Amino acid sequence: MAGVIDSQVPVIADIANFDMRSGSFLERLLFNNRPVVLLLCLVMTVFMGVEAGHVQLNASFNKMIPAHQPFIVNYFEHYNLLQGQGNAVRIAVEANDGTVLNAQYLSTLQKLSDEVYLLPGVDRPYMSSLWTPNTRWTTVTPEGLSGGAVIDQNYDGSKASLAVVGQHIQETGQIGQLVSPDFKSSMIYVPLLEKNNITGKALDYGDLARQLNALRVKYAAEGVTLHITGFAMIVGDLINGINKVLDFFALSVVIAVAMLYWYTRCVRSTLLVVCASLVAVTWQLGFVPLLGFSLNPYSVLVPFLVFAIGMSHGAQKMNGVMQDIGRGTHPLVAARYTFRRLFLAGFAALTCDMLSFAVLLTIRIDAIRELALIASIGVGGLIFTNLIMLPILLSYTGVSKKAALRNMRTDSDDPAVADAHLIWRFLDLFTRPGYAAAAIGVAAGIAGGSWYVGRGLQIGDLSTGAPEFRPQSQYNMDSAYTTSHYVIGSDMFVIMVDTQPYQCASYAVVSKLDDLEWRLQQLPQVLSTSSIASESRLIATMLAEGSPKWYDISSYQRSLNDDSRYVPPNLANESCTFAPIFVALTDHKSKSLNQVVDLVDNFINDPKNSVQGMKITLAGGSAGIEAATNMVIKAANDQMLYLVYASVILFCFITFRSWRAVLCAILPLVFTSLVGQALMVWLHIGIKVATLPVIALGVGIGVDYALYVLSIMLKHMRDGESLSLAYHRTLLFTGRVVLLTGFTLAAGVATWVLAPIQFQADMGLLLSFMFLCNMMGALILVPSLACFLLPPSMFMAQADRVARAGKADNGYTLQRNRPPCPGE
Amino acid sequence: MAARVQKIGAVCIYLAGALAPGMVRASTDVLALDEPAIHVLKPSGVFLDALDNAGDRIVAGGEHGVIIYSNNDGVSWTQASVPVDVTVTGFAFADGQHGWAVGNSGVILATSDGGKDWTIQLNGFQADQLMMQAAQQAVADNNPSVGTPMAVDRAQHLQERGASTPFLCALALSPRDVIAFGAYRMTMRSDNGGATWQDASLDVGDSLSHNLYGAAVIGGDIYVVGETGLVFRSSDSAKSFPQVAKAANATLFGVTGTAKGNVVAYGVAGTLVRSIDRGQSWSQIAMPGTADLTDGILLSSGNLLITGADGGVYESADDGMTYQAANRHMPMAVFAVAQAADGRLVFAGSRGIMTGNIQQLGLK
Repeated sequence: MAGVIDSQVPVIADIANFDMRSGSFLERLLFNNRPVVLLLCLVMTVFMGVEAGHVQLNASFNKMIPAHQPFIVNYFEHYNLLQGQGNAVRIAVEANDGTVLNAQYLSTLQKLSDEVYLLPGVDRPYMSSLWTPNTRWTTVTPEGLSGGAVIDQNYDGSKASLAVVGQHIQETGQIGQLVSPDFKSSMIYVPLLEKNNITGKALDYGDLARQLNALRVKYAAEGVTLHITGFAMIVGDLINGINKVLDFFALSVVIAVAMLYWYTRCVRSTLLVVCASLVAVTWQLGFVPLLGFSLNPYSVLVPFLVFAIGMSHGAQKMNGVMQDIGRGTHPLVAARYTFRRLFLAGFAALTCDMLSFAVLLTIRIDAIRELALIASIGVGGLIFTNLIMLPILLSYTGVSKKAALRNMRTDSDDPAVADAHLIWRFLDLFTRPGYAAAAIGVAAGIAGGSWYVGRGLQIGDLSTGAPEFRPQSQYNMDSAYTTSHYVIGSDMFVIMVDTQPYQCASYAVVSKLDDLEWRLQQLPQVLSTSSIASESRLIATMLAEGSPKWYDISSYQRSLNDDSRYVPPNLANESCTFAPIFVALTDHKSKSLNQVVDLVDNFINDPKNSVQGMKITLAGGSAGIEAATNMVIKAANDQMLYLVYASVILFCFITFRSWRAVLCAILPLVFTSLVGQALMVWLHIGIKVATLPVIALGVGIGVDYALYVLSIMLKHMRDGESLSLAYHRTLLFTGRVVLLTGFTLAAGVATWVLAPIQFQADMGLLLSFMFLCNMMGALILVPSLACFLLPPSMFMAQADRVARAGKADNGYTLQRNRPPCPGE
Repeated sequence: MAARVQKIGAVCIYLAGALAPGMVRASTDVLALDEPAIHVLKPSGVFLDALDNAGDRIVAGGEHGVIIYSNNDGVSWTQASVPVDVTVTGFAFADGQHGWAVGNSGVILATSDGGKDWTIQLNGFQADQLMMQAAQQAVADNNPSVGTPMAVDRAQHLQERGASTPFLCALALSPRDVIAFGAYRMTMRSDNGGATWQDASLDVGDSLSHNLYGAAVIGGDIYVVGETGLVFRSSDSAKSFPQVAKAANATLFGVTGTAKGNVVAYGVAGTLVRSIDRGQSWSQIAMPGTADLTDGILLSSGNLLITGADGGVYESADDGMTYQAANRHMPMAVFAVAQAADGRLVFAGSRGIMTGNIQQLGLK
């Protein structure tokens, strides 16, 4: 390690004086075959560029859920019985004037219902609206119960037939589900298949959302307002809003490039750094279709992150080359020197990044695994593009001479002299025990406070509606309308109950379900419930000539059998082996979901509720599936952080061979992680499939910065320099680039706060914070911790050995005009 | 099923010797009898079908053993403590403190603190047993009741149904004398404040087993109305309930006395009948709607108020002869109505409690 990073190599202006056989085997292999390496990179880039053209943007409902989780396993086992109670779109059709009992409204609804029926991916047998034959009414007549379709063949739009429809709607018992209680709107329920039933390909949610939005516009002219909610609409709107997301990505890139140019004043090298990073992104995007994946609205962030990481590494390489060229070194030699000094630090950092993404593979949700794989591959690509290809390119192009000289002029090598830059002098303070202790103390205080706040970090969505969108977005307005006008919103939790054949209506089963349903109704987040039990109560009153006094579960089995004959098929299947409980929730906040799950678990685990042959299992419906996903993520979140830290610690140890140095590198990361969690609490962001990767990324970026600072600093200290001097030199070499990229990337992503999509705005804030906090951690906490953890005595023996070998003549004397660090 | 009947039989034998109150907590296999009512999130918002005044207090009852009371004319409600989880169907208060509630699964509950705490006095297994004993006794004694020939078969059938017969209404004639009516002519009487109960179903002049939905004391008589429009009247302090003229061809859910002591009964499909000769004859009255009529009360003004399952509210200012609808329907199915001390109307129904001001409803 120490042999590779050596800033005191001779300045060689003429390439003829350079020993091509010097450097490591890898350096010789790469730099003595530069054309071959570049040709390979070119071939790779062209090939991947073509592949990248095939990248598709879509989402899959089934990939966003943990297929192995017991709830989901149960859900898929009961998939056919649940009749589309999973991924569905709900369209509330509101009459702008009057009520739904209007011939004009009903004919508009019929046309709309027919158009929706024909949309790709609709699970047609289970779609329902006022017009579909599966919407039934039941009533008591002197001859017994009778029933039929709400709008039957006798309907002719006349006043009389409208009154009949009104009567039938009352008799469906579904006011608040089918029609809003104010009769201003009615619901079209549209269950979706995973595949497009016309093409057989994966359902294109962007296309579906576009078609639904087109229907919204079309029917607005017909006097109705559509309120559309559901998973498909969320991802569809996100996909269709992707151009705006990409605009903001582009803005970030432009800002980063502008700042890099402002710093280097060299068009050539700025463009090379950007191009190298873009090549890595191209490779990454090429892998997506090759692996059979597609990008989803959440993973679309990943290519940008790869670009950001690439910028920070590329800037380090470019800076190194520029400094050597400034000293008068030949570009090829400068590139090789930079490769020698920084390849290992960069390699270690990128490998850490890769690992921190790779641990996401342990989370058994396909969407996250795909993202982890894509991100790891992308970062892996950076090793080739930014650590190898970029220095080789720089070895041909060099940098602008003027820029290189300007770079050299800017700073003195001595931290104490008056003309040293103000920032360097400020940062140098943290190599002194007083300031170092103060910095550590403040950081520990903030970390402690953040830990306290961060305990409130929640899993899943924390707000009603879709947190991906702004509160005033179309989707959230629609969602608010639906939840305020219907007892069944888009958040349906289904409890599955299996029994022996023909036992689902037995008193033992029905009375237990009745009890469970009643207990669920006492949760504030439960809007309504339905099951064979509550339906039996209603039917009992109907069979007793409508007397409300019979609203109970009869313990007489034959009465119950009579009741169950009229239970609709979605509440009890034909062979009476399955009787689900549907629980409509006000929202899908993790707290709401947990309360339902806990209540049902406690009920199931109470021995007095066990009935021979009855099995109550969780969970179907969009809310049930979300609960399962939350459970997996909750378990994964802690495990993921442990794994990320374990791998980073291991890698730092391999790099530094000193547990003290590992602590110096890791503690600032822990600080960022803790404050980051507090920030998520403060911003009301929950951990979910979409946000989990950002947490892993925070550690990844942080370790980049820490490794670049610490590895150079350690090298100087091992050469016998004081902490202050070693740190100052580090600042002049890699530290300045850490400062630059920290600000550059933070400024770039900070613009996302203005993005129209809430998800991007949240991610912008979080990432901005991660970039800045990690940068400050590397520049302030690393020297502060080093002040206590890395006393010079540690390096004495090493320094002596180096001095004896005659390599330590660096011409600097230790500065003694400040209080010494402990042990110094 | 056979095993189940045997088991219930065993329970009945066990219970036969233990009919004193407070001794009925043995497991019955009927969940609603084995579990106390749970504390409910919003007890005034659940399905409520029974309502009564207890002094200045108003008491309401409904699904899952929910009984609630209000001390401020229906503004706020508190859930009472109830030992069973059955649907409560009716109340009978003798005074502000002493009252009874009846419900499904043959349950009779009693309170002595105006409806705050309830204890169980009878459950369906005991009721079944009492009916069987009474039937056997009637046969042995050659009881002249029209029900005697079928009495044992009927009791056997109800016993097979396993405590599933609901009580539907009750009357408190004094703090000691109480009578409860239910489905299939089930009738239970106590003359000691509910300490013990006797079967009285053979005292109702019905050879078959009709449901008895409503009862009221009007003048010196007790009227009981029920299925298929049957009316029974007791003029001997509840000793016997001979049938009077059939009032309608539709089931009657309730009966109410007018200010002048005339009788109005109402029920399925907007049926409302009136008698000015103590039930000897009935006249049909045309109502504004066709929904079921569920309850009626005599207002403090002397007017009669009738409620409907479609939320309809109807008032008669002419002693029950003609009716005007309120200016709006209540936004739920109304099952019971009471007038609070301050004059406001309190409705119980499918969505719980709602209150209404007489003037605002366009009533007199």
